Formats: sequence, structure tokens, C-alpha cells
Amino acid sequence: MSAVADIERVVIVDDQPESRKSYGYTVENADFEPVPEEGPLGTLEQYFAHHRIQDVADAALCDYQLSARAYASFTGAELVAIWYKSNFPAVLCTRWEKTQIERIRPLRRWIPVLIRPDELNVDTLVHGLEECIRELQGEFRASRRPWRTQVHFLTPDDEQAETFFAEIPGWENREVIRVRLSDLPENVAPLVEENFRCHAYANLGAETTEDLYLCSWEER
Amino acid sequence: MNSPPIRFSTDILRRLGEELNPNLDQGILELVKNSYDANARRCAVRFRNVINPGGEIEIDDDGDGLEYQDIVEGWLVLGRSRKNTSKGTRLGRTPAGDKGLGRLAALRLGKQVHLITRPRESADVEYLVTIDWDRYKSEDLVENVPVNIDERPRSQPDPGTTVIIDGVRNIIGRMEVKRLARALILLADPFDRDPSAFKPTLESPDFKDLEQLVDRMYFDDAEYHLVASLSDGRVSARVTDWRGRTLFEGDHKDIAPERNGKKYSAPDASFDLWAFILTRTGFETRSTSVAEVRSWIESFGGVHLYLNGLRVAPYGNPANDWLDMNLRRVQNPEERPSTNNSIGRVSISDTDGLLSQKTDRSGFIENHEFEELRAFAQDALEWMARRRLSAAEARRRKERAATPTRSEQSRDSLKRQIERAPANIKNELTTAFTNYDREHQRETDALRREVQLYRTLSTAGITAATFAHESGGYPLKIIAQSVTAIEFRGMKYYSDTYEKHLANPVASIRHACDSLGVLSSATLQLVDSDKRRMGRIDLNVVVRQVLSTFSPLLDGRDVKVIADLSPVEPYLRGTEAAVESIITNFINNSLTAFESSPDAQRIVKVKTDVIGDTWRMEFSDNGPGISGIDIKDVWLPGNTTRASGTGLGLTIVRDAVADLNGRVNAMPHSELGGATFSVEVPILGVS
Repeated sequence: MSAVADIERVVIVDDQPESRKSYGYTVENADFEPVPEEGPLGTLEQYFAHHRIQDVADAALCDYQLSARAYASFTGAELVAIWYKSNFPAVLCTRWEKTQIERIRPLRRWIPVLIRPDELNVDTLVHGLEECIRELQGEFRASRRPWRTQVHFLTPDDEQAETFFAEIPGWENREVIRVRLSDLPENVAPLVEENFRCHAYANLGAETTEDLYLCSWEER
Repeated sequence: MNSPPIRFSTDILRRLGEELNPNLDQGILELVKNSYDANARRCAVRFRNVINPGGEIEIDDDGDGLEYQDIVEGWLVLGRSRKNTSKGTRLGRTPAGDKGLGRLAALRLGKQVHLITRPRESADVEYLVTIDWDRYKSEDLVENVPVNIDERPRSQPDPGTTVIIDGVRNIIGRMEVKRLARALILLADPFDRDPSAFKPTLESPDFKDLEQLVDRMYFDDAEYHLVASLSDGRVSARVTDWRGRTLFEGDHKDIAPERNGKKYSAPDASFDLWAFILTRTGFETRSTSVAEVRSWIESFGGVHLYLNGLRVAPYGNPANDWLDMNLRRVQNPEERPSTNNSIGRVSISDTDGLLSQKTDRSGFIENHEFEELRAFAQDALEWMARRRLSAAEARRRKERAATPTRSEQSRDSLKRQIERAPANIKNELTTAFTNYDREHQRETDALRREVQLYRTLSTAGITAATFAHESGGYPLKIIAQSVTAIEFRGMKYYSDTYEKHLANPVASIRHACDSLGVLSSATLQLVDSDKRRMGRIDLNVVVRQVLSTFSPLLDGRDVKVIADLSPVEPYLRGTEAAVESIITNFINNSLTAFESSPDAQRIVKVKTDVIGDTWRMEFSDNGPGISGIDIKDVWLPGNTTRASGTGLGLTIVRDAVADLNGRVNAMPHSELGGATFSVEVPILGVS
């Protein structure tokens, strides 16, 4: 039996009414009932104070950019990550721009599936929701499994304040990534300097930086 | 059963001495430091007949001398430091903390070494120790060679120690003497003129020249003096002018903003840096010449490091740039000093022994505390650079505002002078001035237009990026989703007629949507900040990337691209943005040229080669070529044959190639018929 068999209604979150409608076509085509979230959603606190998502839908399709219009003051990544922690499946749509991916990375541990809008169709949507549900049930794909690993901070990024380049020696890809100090826990951020090393959990099975996450930072 | 101790082969003396401390000056400096630790005020190093093998070196001081026990427990024991850095000497000096290995290297410079020492506390006694190194050659173990300590009546009343190394094995050349002289002068911080301070000397003419040079102290000729101090992990600094008046002042928050208030975990230290502007005009009104100061800096420049009053080599030695001053100056030259135009010292007071010197005396072990010390000095330099840059910006703004007035004043003054000229030359002068004035005005206007065009294009670029972001986020997303829905429902509900009536128009929309998506992402890629970072650039890779980015546009305009790239992958240090702007502007140029070309088959050819250490790129097309404009004027800003053209594309190419230290050439017609541009830039290598 498919993991999505219990899903009937999918809430659609996007700050553009026309986008909500067009995402709705795909949701309908997948034989789910689209539930457009009309907004405005306000802040995260305001949204969760007045909404119990499980009452209106069984899953969500959420766009990353929610704050260009007066719709929400947070990103879709923040919303999906909170839903994940309350065991609610949601896929996030993003354009895979580098800056978006860097903003998503600190939350990526709780965002199992990213889909580009131009790649969203019935198959990718259903498959994405299945992945979310499996992970919420504790079944991690190899590329999503967390491992304790060392993180090596290299040099500050001259073009972005409070940001360092870092590498993960234990990751096969070894591509250098950016880490913003504001994304680190309060006990770790002040320690970061050139050549600083510490431990965190990362999905070392990730093949690309887009899929990589870092979480559970340790001081040393 | 016996319990035998570990014993040492005589070979160990060579390994620990010569191999760990290969430099003459380092070894002798260790002996001089012994004199410092023994409270000497004077220490003379004498060379006798060292330009031939078999010469003699003498180190003679007026220190406290050694008691019998000091010789047995200290001087003859290798590898154990008897010096306690937390306990000062009789004169309050912090011992230099040697492990005895540097001393061994110096003592082994000759065949024999003699120690003659008169201890301060035992007024009548003098001890003599002789070590004959040849005796160790015939023995297997160090302990098998006894060393005699002879006691005899004093040869002179004052305490002190003399070490004589005779039968010196190697010739000591002029360069080594000069290096030692410099090291001795710098050893005890010559920047402070304390007459009672430790003053080692070398009896050599080179030493006298250098000593006179260091005594000259051209600090007053410095343009800026940075004074930074680190106290309890917090930094403060000020920059003064040559009169000592404070120009800028900063505290921990200003100097190290990225630390968010976090302290430096390094010992207390102070950092002085005198930065000079070594230009002839700058010294015109001074009593010293720029050549004198340059020579002084050549001999003593760099940032020296003093630990508890004694210099630690190699920091500040020629070619040692431990604060990366030259690197940072290259990356961003404005308002930054280099080791060639500055002199400085970092003085550390470390009685807790947080910093440890390496066994081979080549500086400190680079532990966390040392890295923090370095960060303190570098942050102070960065802060000074930021402050100076900001002052320079303000000055430039003021000058820009004042320039028209000033130039108008000069112009009026010149006109008045011409009016006063004798009648016979007045007319000629007036005509010449009018011509000059007209040309000058034209040039100024051209520059003003160029700046305005750059500003306009920058705004256009920013706006294009914003639009690209918006179109990708909304209209394109909606079109893509809607087309997918139409396709899905068409196939589901009209399966028998979908292929025939709807499949093609749906595919056309999808294709157009994909092309628009690529154009929007390509625009965003062009403004990616990472592309403006200096680093290794693989030139052919950038060519391929740009061609790939432009492929939807080129395909859409029926342009065939022939990429004939070199089989090796050349690279250089630069920015991707520079290389990208060259190729992008060539492509744009060709696309514009094709608009007036009747040829149905449009071709762009990119050929790259590596010739020696140069990368050559030839970019040609089969358009109409360059006409209606002088070939040498194509690089000038604003020159265009197209009504809506900016005339800046090739100017940007010229500037970008110049940034890469290369050259660019244009030919109006080539083998394909259209224009050809060739670019040659020096590379670092190939892979």
C-alpha cells in the first residue's frame, strides 16, 4: 500500500494567488484535494497560534518564497521544518538558487524533499510526499541519514558579513560551503574563526551541496 | 639482573647540533642570549681570521659568570632548560628559555671550545672548561669522554664569561657576517633608546655601518604610526601622524568587529608600525632623502617580534611576512603598508610561557595562542587600512567637489597671463590655448559620458537581475505548472485526440518556457558575487560555461557555435567575472552584427590555444565585420555604429583584459568574413 494512501487534502502555501491556483492543478491531478492557504499568515508565532494544520489537510506543498508580498514574514523552509517536527509531511518548492539553498541548509535536516517548480508534476509530488512520510516514520534514505562528522572552518567570506567558508573532511564531495554564524548555536558561533574545527551531524551520503545538511553542532 | 640506563651515541651531538640549527647566526645568537640571561650589559662577538678555515670566534660578556655547579648542572647539560621564565633574573630580565641545543650548534662550529668564566659570587675564582670535539669521534658514547673543569686564580677582577670557539670549520663570508650583525642589532629592541639596556656588539666593519644605520631612526619621517595594544585579551589602537597627533582611535569593538566582543586568547602585547610613503615628492621638504629611508627600511624593515625584551627570529627577517602584509596589499593595495615601506615590532610580555619556541629556533610553535597573537596584529592592520581608506574616500569626494572650481581658477589665471603676454606672441598663445581648452573639454565630456554610461548599465544590470528573479519566481512558475496540468489532463481526458490537436502547441509553450527560464537564470548567474572573488580561474571552463549559458539564445537566433578549445586546461589567478565579461561582450557583439547580415548560416567560432605561458583566444564570426568606424576606435567608450548601442561592450573587454595583464586586438575581417578579436593573457599553468 502506498505511503500516501491516507492523504486526501493537500494545503498549498504560496504568496501569489495565481501560483496557489497553478500548484492546485498538479495537486488535483494527483487525486488530492487542494486546500489553498489564502493568508495572510503573519509571523510564525501568529500562524501557529491560529492554525492547526492537521485539522485542514493531511500534507502540504509549500513554496520557499512567501514574503515578497504581504503574505508571510517567514520562508517556506521555516514552515516546512516546523511541520516536520510535528510529524506533518510537506514538500518544499524552490528554484535551487544558490542563496536560497544556503538559507535552506540549516533547516534541511527537517526538509526531506525539495522540488523545482518546473519539475513539479504528479509523479514528483506523490514521490516527494512518500519520501516525507517514510522519513517521518524513521526510514531514512542513505543520502539523508545523519552522521557525526567534523566541520573545518576555512576563511571568512569577504562579501558576506558573519559568514565563513567551511569544508567537511568526512564528506566525499569535499565541496566548500558557506556557513552563516547566525545559523549556529549560541555556544558555537563565538568560537568560530579561521581554521576552527568542531563537530556536527551531516548527511554524508548527500551527493551535492543542495542536499547537504548540518545540524546538532557541538563546541569541539 | 642489571638495570642499564639509556646511553647516547656521540653521533647525537652532530644530529642535535648541526642538523637542528643549521645557521651560524642562530647558533651565535643563542650564546648571546646566555649572556643576556646572565645579566650582562655588554656582550662582544669577535671574529678572528674566519675568512679562512681554522679561524676563531669569541663571545665575551660582563655578566654574572658561572659557578662550578652552574657549569656541571647547566652548561654541560644538553636539552634541559634550567631557566624559569616566570622567575626574573637579578636584573629583572625574563630568561630566554633555551633548551641548550642552539648553544650546542654554536659550540660545535669549531674543533675546540673553551669556556672561561668568573662567577660574581666567588670573587677570586676563574673556571676553565675545554671541549675537544675530535675526542668524540673516537668514542662510541657521549659519556665516555670526560670533560675537565679547571679552577684557577682570576685573570681579571670583574665577573663575566668568555667562550672561544677555535678551529672554526667553515669559512664565514661577508653575507653571514652581515646577517649576524643585523640579528645582533635587532636582538634587544634597538627602537628603545635605553642606555642601560643589553647591547650586544659584533667587532666588524659591517656591524659599525649597520649600527650607524639603525641609530639614525627615521621614525619621524613615517606618514603614519600605528600603536596597538593587547591587554587582557582586548585590543585598542590609535594611528598618529608624523607629529604624533592622533588621527584615528579604536577600541576592541571597532578593531575586531567580527569577534563579537570575544577576547584574544594571547599574552599581553603591544604593536607599533611605522608606515612610510616612499616617494620623492613626499620627501622634497624634509632633511632626509627618500633613498636614505629606503635603505634603512631595506636593512631593518618588516615587523619584528620581541618576547620579554629579546627578538625572536625569523619574524621580520627579509622575506618573512608573518602578518601577510604583502599579500593583503596585493589583494587590495590602497592604503595598506607592505614590508617594503614599513617597520614595526610586536612586543610580548609572556611570563606564563603561553608561547613556546620551536626546538630549531625558527620561531614559535604555531599554537592557538600564537595564532591569536597574529590575529591581533592583523586585525589592527586591517582596522588601520579601513580607517585610512575611509579617510581617502572622504578626501576624494572633497577633491571631486573642489576640482571644477580649482580647474576654473587655473584656467582664468592662465588666460590672465596670456593677456599680459607681449603682443607679438599673444595671438599665437591665445589660439593654442583655445585649441587646448577645446580638446580638454572634449576629453572631460567623454569621461563624464563614460561614467554616466557605466552607471546606467549598472542600474540596467541590477534591474535585469531583479526582473529575472521575479519572472522566474512567478510568471514562469505559473506557466510551467499550467502547461504540465494541461498536458496531464489532455492526455487523461482526450487521449484519442490529444496528440493530434494539443501535443505540439503544449510542447511549444514548454520549450519557450524553458528558454525563458534559462535566460532568467543566466542573468542571475552573471551577478553572482562569487564570480568577483579572486582565485584560480580555469579559462576553457569559463568559455564552455558562457557558451552553454548563451546556447538557448544562440540556438534561438540560428547561430552555430564552433568551439575549438585547447586540449590542455590553462588557468590563471583572477576573477571569473573578468573572463566572463570578455566572452559575453564578444557574443553580444556578434549577435548585434548578425542583425545586419543577410547570411542565413550564422557562425561564431571560439578558438583557444596555449602558447608558452600565454592563453590566446580568438573570437570570430561570419557577420559583416567592422566597418564605418576606425579599427583603433572600437575600444573607445561610446563609439558605436548601432543607434541603440551603448558603445561600452568592447571598452569593458579592453579593461577586463588589462585587469588580467593581457592584450586584445581587433581585425575588421577574418577567415569567416566577420570581425575577429584576439585576446592574449598570461597564465599560471595548465592542467
